[in-house]
Amino acid sequence: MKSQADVMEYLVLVIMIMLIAFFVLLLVFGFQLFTAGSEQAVAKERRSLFLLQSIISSNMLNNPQYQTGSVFDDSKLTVIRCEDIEKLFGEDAWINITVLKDESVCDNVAPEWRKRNCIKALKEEANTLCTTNNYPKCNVWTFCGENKKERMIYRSIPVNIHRKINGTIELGVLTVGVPGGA
Amino acid sequence: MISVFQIFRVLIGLIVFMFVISFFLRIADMYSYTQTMGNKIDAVNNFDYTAMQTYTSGNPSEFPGFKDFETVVYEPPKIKSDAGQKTLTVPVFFMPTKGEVSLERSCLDFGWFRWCCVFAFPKSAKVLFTIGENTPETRALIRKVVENLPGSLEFGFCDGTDARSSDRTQFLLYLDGSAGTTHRPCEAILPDYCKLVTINASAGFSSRIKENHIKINPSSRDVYEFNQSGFPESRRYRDWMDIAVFITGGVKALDYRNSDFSQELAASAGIMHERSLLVQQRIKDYNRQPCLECSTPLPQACGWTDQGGAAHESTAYRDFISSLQRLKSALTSGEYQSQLDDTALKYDELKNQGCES
Repeated sequence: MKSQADVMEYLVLVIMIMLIAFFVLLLVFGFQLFTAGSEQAVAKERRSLFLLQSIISSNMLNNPQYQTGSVFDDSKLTVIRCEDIEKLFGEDAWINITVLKDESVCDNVAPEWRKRNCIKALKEEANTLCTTNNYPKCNVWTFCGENKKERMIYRSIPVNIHRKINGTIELGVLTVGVPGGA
Repeated sequence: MISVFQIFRVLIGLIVFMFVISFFLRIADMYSYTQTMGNKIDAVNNFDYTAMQTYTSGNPSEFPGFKDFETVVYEPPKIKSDAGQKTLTVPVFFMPTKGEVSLERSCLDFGWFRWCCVFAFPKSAKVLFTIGENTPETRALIRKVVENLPGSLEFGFCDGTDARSSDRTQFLLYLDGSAGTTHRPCEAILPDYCKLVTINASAGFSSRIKENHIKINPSSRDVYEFNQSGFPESRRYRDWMDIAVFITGGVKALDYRNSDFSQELAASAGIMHERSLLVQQRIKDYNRQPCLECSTPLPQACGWTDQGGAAHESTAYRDFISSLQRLKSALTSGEYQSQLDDTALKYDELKNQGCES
């Protein structure tokens, strides 16, 4: 009986050692998996940052006069299509550029009838998606809208938009989204 | 006396011990392999990221290198190594090395279209030139190539067995003072990461060096390199960028450059064509009904011209649009260089008239 009990005790010890080894392995490979997951997140962050940098420095969207970028040409934004965006900057991206305007931009416009025209024009343009038909009386450009999903990493920065026809430079916000995120 | 149970216990203990040890050794080996491979994949990803940063910002950068790698091969746009293969995100021309790498951006600017790429060279790399016939055109071509390769490179001349190199600024001074100087075929023993460029050499001008040796014939616009069998393989070059690319990666790099460039050019020509049509139309509309809120509207000449008191449609955008249309057709045949130059000329005219900035 005692020998049998000793053997059992021994087997239990062996099983315990194996269990400890198993947990150590789980910890090690769990850490590996966690690291791989965080690397994937870093890759997505990098992709969104690269997309943002590429867009603001692209000659195809910006006014070439400003070599440093960040000054979009509104006429180029109006004609570019999602296929072009995918060719130039890769797939899966969602891009939005909105001109920021409020009535205060008309404050210094004189005489009064011009000011009224200015405010009227602003109201007409507000949140109007730009197409070749309504250009330049519009202030929003969105590309690849069908790519917009709930789980995306978004980045926004202020940018300038050169209005080709009237020669002004306006302030806007560029937002890009790439798949990923929590 | 040792009992049967004690013998059994010792044997079982030994077996379990051996099993546990071999198990842990195997796991440790697997873990170390995964870890090494992970580090290598990280290194390749970081190289790609550094190239992306250089490409978008235009600031030169450095990459610490692929130190623990056994092989690093670059077949544009793929970098092949013991960590597998990865397609680089931006156009990179890389002279493979395991050591430190210098990255610098270069761009070709046609006004309405700009194409950029990143040159990645080993920090210790050298480019030596052997000039057969030293003409102002040859020197201008060398200058343009040297100015657009990374500043960390050393440049020099190889004359017979004499090969000397210096930094870029010094080399450009030597180049200016080398008018009329011709070199003998290079026979020097070249160090690692050194490219020999023989330019404007006559038919009888030959060097025994085949590896890392390229030849440029500006009169026929041909560039040659020697393939693995020792036979020359040639391509036609268009501009200094082609030569810089050829120095970096030979025929494969040049083929990749041409395909990437023409793809981007085709996309850009399409966009620019539609955009110019749109602008032309809107300028005409606005000229009919002058824009009261415009701060600095485009000159009227961009839409209409006054000829003898009658308004005529301006040719400013019309010429550029026709030129772009011809470029789009030429792109399908592959012979588009002259048409591309023509669009650049027409775009310059638009800028001079104040229609483009």
